[in-house]
Amino acid sequence: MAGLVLIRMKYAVLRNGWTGWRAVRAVAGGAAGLLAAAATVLAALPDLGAPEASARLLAGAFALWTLGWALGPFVLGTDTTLRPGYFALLPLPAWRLAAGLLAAAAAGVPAALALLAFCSLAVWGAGLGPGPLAVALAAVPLQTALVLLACRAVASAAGAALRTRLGMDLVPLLVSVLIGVGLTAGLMGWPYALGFAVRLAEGAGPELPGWLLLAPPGWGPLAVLGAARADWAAAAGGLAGLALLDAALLGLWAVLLRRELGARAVAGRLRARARRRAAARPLAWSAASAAAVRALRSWQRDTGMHIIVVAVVGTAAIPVIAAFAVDWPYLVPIVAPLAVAVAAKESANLFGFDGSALWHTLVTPGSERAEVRGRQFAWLAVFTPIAVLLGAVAFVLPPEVGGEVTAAARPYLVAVLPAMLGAGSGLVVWYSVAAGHAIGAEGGATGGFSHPGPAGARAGLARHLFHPLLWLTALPPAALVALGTLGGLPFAVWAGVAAGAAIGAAAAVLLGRAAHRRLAERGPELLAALTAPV
Amino acid sequence: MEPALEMSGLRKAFGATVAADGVSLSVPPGSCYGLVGPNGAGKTTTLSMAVGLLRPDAGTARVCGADVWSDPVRAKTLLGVLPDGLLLPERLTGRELLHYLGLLRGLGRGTVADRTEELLDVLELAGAERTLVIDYSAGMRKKLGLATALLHAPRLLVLDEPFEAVDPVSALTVRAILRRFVASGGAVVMSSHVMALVEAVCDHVAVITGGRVVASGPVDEVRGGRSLEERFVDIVGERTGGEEGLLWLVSS
Repeated sequence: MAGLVLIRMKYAVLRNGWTGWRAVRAVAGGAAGLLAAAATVLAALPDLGAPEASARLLAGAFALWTLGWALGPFVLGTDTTLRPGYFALLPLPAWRLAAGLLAAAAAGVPAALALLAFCSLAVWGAGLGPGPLAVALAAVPLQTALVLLACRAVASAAGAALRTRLGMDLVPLLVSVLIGVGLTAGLMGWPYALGFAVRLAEGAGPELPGWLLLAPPGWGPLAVLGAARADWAAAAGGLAGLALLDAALLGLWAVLLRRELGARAVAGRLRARARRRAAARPLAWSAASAAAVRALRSWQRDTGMHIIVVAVVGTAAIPVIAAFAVDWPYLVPIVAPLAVAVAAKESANLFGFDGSALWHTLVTPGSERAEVRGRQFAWLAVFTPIAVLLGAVAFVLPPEVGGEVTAAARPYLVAVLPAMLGAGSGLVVWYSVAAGHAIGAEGGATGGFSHPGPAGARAGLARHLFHPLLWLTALPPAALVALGTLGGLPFAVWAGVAAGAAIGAAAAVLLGRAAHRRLAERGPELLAALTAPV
Repeated sequence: MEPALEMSGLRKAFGATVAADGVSLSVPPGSCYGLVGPNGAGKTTTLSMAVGLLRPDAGTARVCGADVWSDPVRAKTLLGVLPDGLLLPERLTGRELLHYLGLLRGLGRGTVADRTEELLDVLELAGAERTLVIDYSAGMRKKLGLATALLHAPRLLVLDEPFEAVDPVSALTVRAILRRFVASGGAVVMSSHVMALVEAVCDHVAVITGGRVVASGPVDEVRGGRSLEERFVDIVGERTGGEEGLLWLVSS
C-alpha cells in the first residue's frame, strides 16, 4: 500500500520537475546502462564448453553490477526524488518505509536495466533445461533486489558516517581513493580487458577465479549451476542465501533510516569549533586579505569545500601508491597537474558554498574586486602546496621505482604547474561568478552526495570543459620543454618554464578581472541563482 | 485526565552545548500551551524531541499516553506537527502533497480528497492550484505545513513558530482554526517569540531559557498581574540593551 502511493508520488515529483537537462542526463545514463545490460545478456549466450565457465563469467559480471550500484551513489549522487525526511512525521514503522522506498526505487529505469542484466541468468538457465530455468527465474528478482538494497543501504550508511566528525574525512577519502583506484585500474587494465573480450568472442572460456561464485553476487549463478548438475542443495543454498541477504540489507537500511530520522543534520558545516586564537585575532589587514582569510577559513570549516580538498588528495595518492605497489609509475608524472584540474573542476561553484551570503558583497560598495581576488588567493594557498607536494614525488622517487618516465617528467612539471595553477585560480572564480548555482539544501542527510538540481546539472555538464581548458594552458610550456629536451636546446626548456609562469600569471589576472567586473555588473543575478530553491 | 503531551526529563547535548537540560512539561487536553524563550533557549530542540524528530539523550515524551520513541506509530497517529524549517517535496503542488501524505497515513481516498479540498479552501491555498511548493512564499509554506499537520485530525498539534511569515488575515484564520480545535478537546503546543500573540492565543505558557523550564502554568498565573513581556524579561533575567553606547551612531 505505502509502496504504491510512494511510486505514484515519485512520478508526480519527477513529472513536475522535468527539464531538458534532466532529460539529457536520463537519456545518456539510460543508453549507457542499456549497453551494459545488453553486454551482460550477450555474455550468457556463447557456449563456453563447461557450464562452470559461464557461471563464473556471469558471477563476474554480476559482481561488477553490484559494485557499481553500491558505489554509484558516491560518484553519481543519490536519488533524492523521495527523501526519507518527507515521511519523518508519518506513523510508519521504519521497515515499512524502507520497503515502500524500495518499491519506489524498483519502479524506475535504472532498476529495469538491472533487471534486464540479471535476466541473463534466465537466458543461460533456459539453455540448460527447465530445472535451471526455474531456479534462474527465482534468482533474477532476488539479484535485482540485492543491487537496489545495496545502493540504498550503502548511501544511508555513508550519510550516517557523514554526520560524524571522523566520517566527514573518512567517507570522502574512501570515495576518492576508489575513484583513484578506478582511474589507475582503468588505464592499467584496458589491454587485459581487450584481450579478455577477444577470447570471449572467439568462444574460448576465460579463466576466472572460482571465488566469484562464492561472493554474494555470484549466488544466483551458483544456484543455477547447482540445478544444472542436479545438485539441489547448492541450488537451494544459493537462492536462500540471496533471500536472507536481501532481508538483512532491508533490515539494516530500516535501522539506518530510523536513526537518520531522529538525528539532526549537520548541513554544510563542520562541527569543529573555531580555534580560540584564530577567532580572537582575525588575521587580515586589507579588504582583499580579509576576503582571502575568510575564504581560507571556509576551506577549513565548510564540509563541502573540505571534501574537495580530501578528494583531490585521495584521488592523486593512488597512482603514487601504484608506482610502489605494482611497479607501474606511468601516472606519477601527471598526478600533480591532474590534481590541479580536479581541484579546479570541483571548486567551480565557490559562491554556491556560501549560498545567500553573497548579499554582504552586494551591499558593500566596491568590494567585488577584493572578494574575487581574495578567493583566488585562498584557492591558490590551498592547492599550490598540494600540487607542489604531488609534483615533488617525481623528483624524489628512486630510479628503480620511478623509472625513466618520472625523471623525464621533471622539467615538464616545473613548466606546466604554474600555468595550470594560475589558470585554475582564474577559471574557478570566473566560472563561479558566471554560472554559480545553489547547492542542494539537503546537505545533511547524504552530505555532498546528492543529485544536483536542474541548474547544477547544467553547470555540471559545462564543468567538464575545465579539464581540456586547463590542459590546454599546459600545452605551450610543455611544447617548449619538449623542443628543448628532445632537440638539445637548454634555452627552450627555460623558455618553457618562463612561458608557464607567464601564462599562469596572465590567466589569473585576466580571468580574475573578468570575474570581478562581471560580479559588479551582474551581482543580483548571481544572488538570485544562488538562492533559487533546488 | 491523561495529558495530551507529557514531557519528562528531556535532555539533549550537542557536544559540550546542552540544548535541553531535563525539560518536563505536562500539557492538559483542551489547552493551548505557549512555549516562549530567548533565542537559543532550546525551544525547537525540545519540540523536536517531543514529536520524534530528534532522539533525546534522556527522558521521555508521551502523546495521550503513547511514548513517542517506543510506540512511535500510535504517537504519530495522534500527533500533528508543523516543524521549523519544514522539509517538503518541492516539486509537488499543495494538493498533490496532501493527497499522497493522506494516503500514506492510511486515510481513505474519498476522505483525503474531501479534507484536502476543505483545507486548501480554508487556508486560502486553493488559488495556487498549479503552483509547485518550490514556488510558494514563506507564508504559504507555513500554511501548507499546517494543512499537513491537520489532515489526519490529530488530538495534539505541535507548532513551531506557526505565525512567523504568515500575513495578518491568514493569521486570524489560523487562530480561528486553533480556537475551534482546542474547544473541541484538542491540545495545541506552540513556540513563539511574540509575547502579545501568546497572551492572545494561549491559555497556558512555559518559559524556557538555557534548556530549562523556569516558569510554567496558566498564563494569568505566570504573568502575575503584569504583561507577559515584562514578566518574561524578568524571568529570563536579561537586561534590555540598546540604551547605552553606540554614540557614533546617534551623534551625527
